Amino acid sequence: MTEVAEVSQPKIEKAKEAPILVTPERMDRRKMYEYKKGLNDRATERTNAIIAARQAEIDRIAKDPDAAEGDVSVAGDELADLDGEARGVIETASADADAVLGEQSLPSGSYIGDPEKGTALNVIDSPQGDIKDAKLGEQSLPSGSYVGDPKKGTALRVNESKAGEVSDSGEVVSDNQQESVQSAEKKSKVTLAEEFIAQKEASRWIEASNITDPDKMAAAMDRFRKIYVGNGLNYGKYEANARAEAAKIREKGPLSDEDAKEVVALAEEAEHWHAYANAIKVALAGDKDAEGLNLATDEVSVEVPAAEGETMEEVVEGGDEETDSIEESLDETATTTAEAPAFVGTSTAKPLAETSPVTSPPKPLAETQTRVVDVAPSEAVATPKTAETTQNREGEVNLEHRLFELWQEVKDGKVGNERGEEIVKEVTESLEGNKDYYRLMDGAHIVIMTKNFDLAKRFLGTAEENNHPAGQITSRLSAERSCTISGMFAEAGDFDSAQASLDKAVDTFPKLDGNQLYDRAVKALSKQRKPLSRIFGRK
Amino acid sequence: MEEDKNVIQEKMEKVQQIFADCMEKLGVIESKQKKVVSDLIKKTDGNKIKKVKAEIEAL
Repeated sequence: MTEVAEVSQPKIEKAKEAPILVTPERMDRRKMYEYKKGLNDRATERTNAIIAARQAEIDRIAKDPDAAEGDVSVAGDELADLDGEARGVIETASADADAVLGEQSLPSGSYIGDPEKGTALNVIDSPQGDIKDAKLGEQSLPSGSYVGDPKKGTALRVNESKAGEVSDSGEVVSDNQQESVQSAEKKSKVTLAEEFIAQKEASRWIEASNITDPDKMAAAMDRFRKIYVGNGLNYGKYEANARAEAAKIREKGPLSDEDAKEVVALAEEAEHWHAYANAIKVALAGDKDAEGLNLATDEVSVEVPAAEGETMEEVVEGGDEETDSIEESLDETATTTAEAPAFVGTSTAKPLAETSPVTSPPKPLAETQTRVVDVAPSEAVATPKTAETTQNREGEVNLEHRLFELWQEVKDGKVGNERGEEIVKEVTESLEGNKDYYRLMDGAHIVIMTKNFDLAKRFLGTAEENNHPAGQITSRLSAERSCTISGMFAEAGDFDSAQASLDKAVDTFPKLDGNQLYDRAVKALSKQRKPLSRIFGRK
Repeated sequence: MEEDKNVIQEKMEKVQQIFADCMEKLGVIESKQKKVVSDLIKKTDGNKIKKVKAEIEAL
């Protein structure tokens, strides 16, 4: 006979880890429940049959021309009352039986059994202290948890646990399932990490692509979920997924097979996740002029997307502490999502896209902002897609592609010569009057590498002035961008600017410890200068 | 172990008794339900009789 007690938190934690055995009593409880359920069902069936038969009689009488309508109505009401009474009797009997068989109401954190002996069943996810340990002493357990000893093949896995519901399926885990059952909890942590990364990458992709249409946002989220979730953080599959994504794009058109192949090549050869995003973006935009991109690269490497300073290996190998970190990050992500327009289309925060034509292609941020300020939502929704906006979109895509090309040229060392000057000139002319944050950042990136620091600062200043007012650029992402800029300044030799950018990053988002971009910027600075208290003190 | 089995058997017998009582109560309710229909039939038949009587008186 088990006992019920409330225990201290440490004991609860210990109980969670304790192996739990399936006792004969537990198995018999299932039989008891089935027996009780049989009796319950029989009583219910009988009541159903009786009420159906009597109601049929009343219906038949009602058709008799001599039956008074009032009499029929009264009889119907009386029958209904009696039916309710019968069901009440059954419910009472069921509750009484549950009480006899051991149904208990337990608060979260309590347990049945003895954790010291490793026989405890912990009560988890008990809402308001009212766990409906509904049937025969079953516990409410989270999905994926188990009772029993998987090594002995006697575990009972919880398939679909809902709060307060009995969900122990009674499934006996086979040998080949034991390991997976045993690691169910770990897997759930991995899924958390995958979800986190998928969400983060989707956010970045949405941000980088200036997507404001909620449908496209949701589609983007879905795409990244398909890439990351379920892969066990195995980035070896990243490339495969890139291929799969491109295959899907090819199916949808309008890219030709050749174009799709080139998109795959770009994804494979990406040195940064932006390149992958750009490849997909090009495909989504239906831009057949893919040859405009520089696809000829000898190196074939797929960089693992940065995960806030965590490598995938660290995430996978991390224990609870690591998971806590991920969960904290998840919390931060949730906060971030709340700040930003909801990219999954939730209705609490009105997304910018609601103020733009739903059927139109994504707009440059600056244009979208103007709509928010100047156009009433209802009017904006009614705004038809015009040739002008399409042209703007094409121009935007072309500009991004062109900047990408120029960046690659600069990256390949074409600086400090005639071609370098031409590049700077073209970037400057291209961005004249442009208020798009991303393009300005692109331009700054390019001209920093050509050591045109003043020009870069001008671009950065304009970008900052036009930073998304609705918060699409979150403080963390903004800080990461500042880190990137800092690194670029440092590598290009402008250490004061590098320091200023890093200071700005820390001021914007202080929790940058462990962030890859931050660390890279610090490293770039520290190579050139004596350690800076600002950096190593990590304000 | 044996003790547990006895406890379980005892519980099952109690459950059985609970539902036996339940069925008995349902039987009582069933009788009331039958009476409702029976009363309705009687009232309807009464209406028929009244109707026939009225027709006879009208002759």
